[in-house]
Amino acid sequence: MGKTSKDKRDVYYRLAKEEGWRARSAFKLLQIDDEFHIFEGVKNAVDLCAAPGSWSQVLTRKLHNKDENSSTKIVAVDLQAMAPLPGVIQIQGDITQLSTAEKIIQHFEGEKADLVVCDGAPDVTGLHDIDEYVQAQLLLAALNITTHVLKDGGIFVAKIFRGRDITLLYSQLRIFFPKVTVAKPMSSRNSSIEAFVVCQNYSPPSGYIPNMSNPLLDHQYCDWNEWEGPNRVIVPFLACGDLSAYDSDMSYPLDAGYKFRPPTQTPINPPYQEAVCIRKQDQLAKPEADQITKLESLELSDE
Amino acid sequence: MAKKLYLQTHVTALCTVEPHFLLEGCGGFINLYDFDSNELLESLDIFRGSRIHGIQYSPQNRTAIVFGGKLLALVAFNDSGTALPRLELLQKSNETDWIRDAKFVNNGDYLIKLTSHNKVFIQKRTSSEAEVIEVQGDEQCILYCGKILGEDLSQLTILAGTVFGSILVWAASPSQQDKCLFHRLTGHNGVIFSINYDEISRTIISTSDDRTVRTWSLRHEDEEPNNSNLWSLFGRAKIDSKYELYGHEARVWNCVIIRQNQCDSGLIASLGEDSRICLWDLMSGKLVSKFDAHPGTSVWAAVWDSRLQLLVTAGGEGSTRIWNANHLQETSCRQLKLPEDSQVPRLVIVTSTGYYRYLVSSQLGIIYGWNGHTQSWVSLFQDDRLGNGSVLDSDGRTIIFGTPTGAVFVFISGPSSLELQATHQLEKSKIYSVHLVASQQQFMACLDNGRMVLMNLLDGSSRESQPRAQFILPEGKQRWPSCVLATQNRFMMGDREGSFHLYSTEKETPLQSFPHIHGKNGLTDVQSDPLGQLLYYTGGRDGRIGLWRLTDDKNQLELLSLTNTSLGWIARLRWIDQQLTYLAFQSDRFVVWSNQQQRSLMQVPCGGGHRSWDFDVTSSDVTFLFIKDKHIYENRRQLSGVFNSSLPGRCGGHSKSICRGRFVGFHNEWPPLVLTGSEDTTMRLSRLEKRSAQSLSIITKHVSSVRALAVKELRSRSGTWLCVSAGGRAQLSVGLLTLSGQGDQVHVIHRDVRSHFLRGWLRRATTNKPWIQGGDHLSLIPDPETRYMDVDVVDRGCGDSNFHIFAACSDSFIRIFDLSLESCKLDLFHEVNFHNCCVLLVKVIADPDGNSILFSAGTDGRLAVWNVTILEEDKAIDPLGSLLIHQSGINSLDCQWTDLDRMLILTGGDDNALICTQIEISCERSLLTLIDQQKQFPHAAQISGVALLANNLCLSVSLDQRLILWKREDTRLKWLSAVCCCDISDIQGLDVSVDDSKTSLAKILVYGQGIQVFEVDNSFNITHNLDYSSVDPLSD
Repeated sequence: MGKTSKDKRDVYYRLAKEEGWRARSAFKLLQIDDEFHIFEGVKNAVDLCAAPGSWSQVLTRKLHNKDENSSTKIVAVDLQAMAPLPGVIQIQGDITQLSTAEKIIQHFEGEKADLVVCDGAPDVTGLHDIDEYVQAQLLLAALNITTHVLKDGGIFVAKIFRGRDITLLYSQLRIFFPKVTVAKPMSSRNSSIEAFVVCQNYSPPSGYIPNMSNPLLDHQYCDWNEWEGPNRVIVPFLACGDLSAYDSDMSYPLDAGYKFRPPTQTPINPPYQEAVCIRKQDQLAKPEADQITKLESLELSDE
Repeated sequence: MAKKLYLQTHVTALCTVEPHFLLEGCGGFINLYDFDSNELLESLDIFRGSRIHGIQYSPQNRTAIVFGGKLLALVAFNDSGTALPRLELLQKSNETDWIRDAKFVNNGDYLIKLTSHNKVFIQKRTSSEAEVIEVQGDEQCILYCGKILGEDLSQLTILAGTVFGSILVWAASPSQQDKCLFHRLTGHNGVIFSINYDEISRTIISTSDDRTVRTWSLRHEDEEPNNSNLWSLFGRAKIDSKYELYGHEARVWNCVIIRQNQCDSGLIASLGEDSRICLWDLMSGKLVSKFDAHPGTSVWAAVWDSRLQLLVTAGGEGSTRIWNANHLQETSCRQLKLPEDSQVPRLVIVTSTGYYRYLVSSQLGIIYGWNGHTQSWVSLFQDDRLGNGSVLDSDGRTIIFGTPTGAVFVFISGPSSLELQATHQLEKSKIYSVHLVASQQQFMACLDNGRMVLMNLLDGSSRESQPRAQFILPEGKQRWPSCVLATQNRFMMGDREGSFHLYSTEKETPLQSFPHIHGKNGLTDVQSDPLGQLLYYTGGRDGRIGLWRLTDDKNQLELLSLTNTSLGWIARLRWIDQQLTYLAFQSDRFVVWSNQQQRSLMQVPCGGGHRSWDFDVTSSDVTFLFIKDKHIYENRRQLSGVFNSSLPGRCGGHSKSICRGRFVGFHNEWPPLVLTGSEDTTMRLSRLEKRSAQSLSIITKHVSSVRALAVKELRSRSGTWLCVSAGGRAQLSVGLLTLSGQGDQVHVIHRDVRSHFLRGWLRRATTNKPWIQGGDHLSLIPDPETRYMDVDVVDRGCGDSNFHIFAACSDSFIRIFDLSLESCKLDLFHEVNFHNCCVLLVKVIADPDGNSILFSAGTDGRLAVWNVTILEEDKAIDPLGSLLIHQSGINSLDCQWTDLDRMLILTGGDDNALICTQIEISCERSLLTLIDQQKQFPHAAQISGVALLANNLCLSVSLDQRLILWKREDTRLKWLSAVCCCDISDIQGLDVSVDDSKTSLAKILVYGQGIQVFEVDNSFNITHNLDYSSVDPLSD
């Protein structure tokens, strides 16, 4: 495959590189905003699972550009290291820890956030049930820390995998947000299971005390009828991005003068780094038996 | 209701049960196999669509704990000894969190569960109330894996692998005093996918996202605690990282310990995403062997049965494979030394009958026979002419030698010795090759300048015997045949230049020639198909397999297909157990490859193909004899270890997601066959049997994923199906599938008709291969940008010869192709750009007046309707009209005429909506009118398949894995209590095969990560006559 194959096939991948976004997902948040105006009146914003930082980039461009008021604060949290971004306060920490929530509030000088976004997703394994479960746990961890830092009436936007038991997650979110919508931006592929929940008007149940010491568990079906029955929570669906937006499934030809650009930001310390390095040097273990055969043939040729 | 009939998907859990049974988890089904009879004994749907991730069998109470996700079930294994063993579901429960491991302790009195938030549940089984004690580990992070150790409540020890890459070792005690985090092991650079403990060597083995297998050894400074005293063992140990093992090229999912006996130092078998199994020596950390166990897909599970000495593995393509010592170790080759050191072996033969199993000829013309009793070579025959430069052919019984001086020796491997039957002295010319034509008691010898003579085998006694026929090979550098097949008075020959020729005994020159059809390095074998008349297979050093048919007059050979294999060099073809088996060389290895199982059955590192070798299969063993570095080596294995190595019905299917599946009917007999196209670039035709699917034919002509399929049975030729496939890299391909036989003996022939690439032209301006009517992909320059998303085909009414193919393209075009079967032409005929977005589907149906109506839909949710009855090349076409139905992509559509000009359309979209629309279509007035429309939001995820059935029933299926059956009243859909949870994920669509029987209405094929087939019958009742929630987000 050519160097530009992906550019041809994925218009948003190409645009992201052209416009300097660290990942194509930046367009997803922009298109969600087109529909829901999530940045209106936002003073404090939190980006959970921020690496590589494309959503933080969107937050800075949208919030800092709107008014030059320096009181706008953006905090990005991730367990992984992330290349620095001007105008973004970075916390390298675990979103399941209370201390992380406290640090966020500290940066907001005791105030709470108006908007929490989370584009985190695990490396998928290929078994959808595991991937959906881990994604749901990530979202619940994000929701849990959000209950500590989001102010009443605030907005929470997070990635979900639309899978088998996604309705359980919807019902969980409904407890905290009266208005939950599934948004599918044009820049997210038609075929992909990815979508985003836009949860508006944060209003925790009365008497709810945020608690980090117990993880939120996702809901479960009460009995087998629910499993196969009709009373599952269905939340509204909204396609985002106006009609003039590019279609992520469509292949667009490249202009004649198209120049290839490398990605804006390559991954920092991925788990496979060392293994890939070892493989490149042809240092992966080789079966002993092959070596034995070789030795044998050496002996024989000596004879 | 919908009933599950067949399932092929990821196999994710395995467990052996003494003495010779296997439990397998495939989707939500638990299957019981008998190793001895190789039979599927039982298949229980215990989790109804939720995947089984683990099975732990407890021999004491003969109960298996089956878990997956948040579900847990106890299944009893009832083996009375007289009847066949059965499985019985004892109980099933829904837990609060994902279960990572479960185990019985205290002789089965307590059930222990470890969940994904590092929490342990201790449940007493005997008490009637559900008394559950919860023990939360100090660390609450998410676990990707975990293991419960200990046989007693007082020693429960947990090994947990966290999402952050550390391993926690802790004592799970309800009392706060005893609960203790013994160790936190760090070192992995990613998520831990599995953790195991080997009691004998006191080693923890972990596998991870960072592609390593790591071993951690327990060390004690003072006296060693007892193995059963786990708290003391782990609590007082120092745990050191011992080995970091890099061998996989992708993530490592799991591992098992292999020990042939208690004293064995042990092997670790690690299972990778790279489809490989690595065998590591537990003590030394050395890689013993590495093999591709499930090509193209992840290896999800494995189990070692020490009693049977078998490793069983399961993979993402839905296969469960059995590996014995033959596969696991490089079986060493035995050197068979000639008695005289001065003799250099030249040619080897394995006989199938006779006293001497092996024969070898030396450089001085001595023939030795291998005496199996004395284990030594015996000199049997000597003639100087048989020395250097002689050639041979053998069928295992008759052996013929041709010499450089023009002599031919005919031997028979007799019951007591090697018998010389005849000698022939041909012209004083070197004999370049000899070929036995055993069926006619003849042989063929090739002399200089490509001259060949056909002789009777036993005429040799007369000094100048007359040739029965003479032939001449076309000119070439290496002008002699490499293989000859006779069928009455026709001879098929392959030569060293990769060419294939057909001769008649009446003519010296070929009737037909196919120069370099198998590349330039030689065509190596030609074999007739025992099932199909006048069908022949060829193999070559280009790694390809050709399928040929001889015309009824036997004057023409027709190339039906030329298939690429993953093998470097195919040397011989053999029919073993009615299966075509390839004997091939891959770099320095000899490989026996099963086409049906798509795996190598045996491999021998012999140094490559340039040597004298022979191979034979008897009822008990398999032998490969070869010469390497002037020595003779024997590699002999038991037959059972080479063949019979897959579970019945578990040979596996596609290694990646299936994009499209279609039923292909066959003599109107149930079950029909299923044709699937996948991201793994292949198409498979499978038969449904043994609750799974069995591949009959694998078609490998696409260069990228096969995203779309359209099939049509030819009206004039029953059993012949036109099959149009399309997909990535803008490739559209047309083939003909011919099905014959009946019952178990289905015979499939796939014939390539033509492939088309967008903007793809032959790289060479002229071609000297006029017989190739397309299909030679290498000489084409494909346009990689465009993907075909969907295709449909319509007969242009010229008696099965002319068709229009409609293709939905990712570059927003609908392309129309003209196909002529008679002239084998496939041309782009029309391009229409209407949708201005990726076009997702096209469907053509005929209206009552005989017009062809085309429906097309794209990612923007717009449906367009076209009249495509008459298409002219240079005339633009416009739709009759279009409707914006969905918010985003329309994934599936089905339609039915309800009146002369009224049509009902059911669509399923990416916006989770199921929409029933009634429209009026008027071709004369070019009019499209919306009559009525109803929306439903019954699914939690995008809807990928819909169908309208008879009796006003409809179906919808979604990525939320639910198949819902509806009753339709006009455009209103009524909920029936008929939801079925599919066992396959990532569902891409469905297909329907209408059944005529009274009990069942239709068979439903659902495809995605695997295939599942349902039967829909009339036995549903309208208990919930309620409308489904129809939340419309736009009217919010």
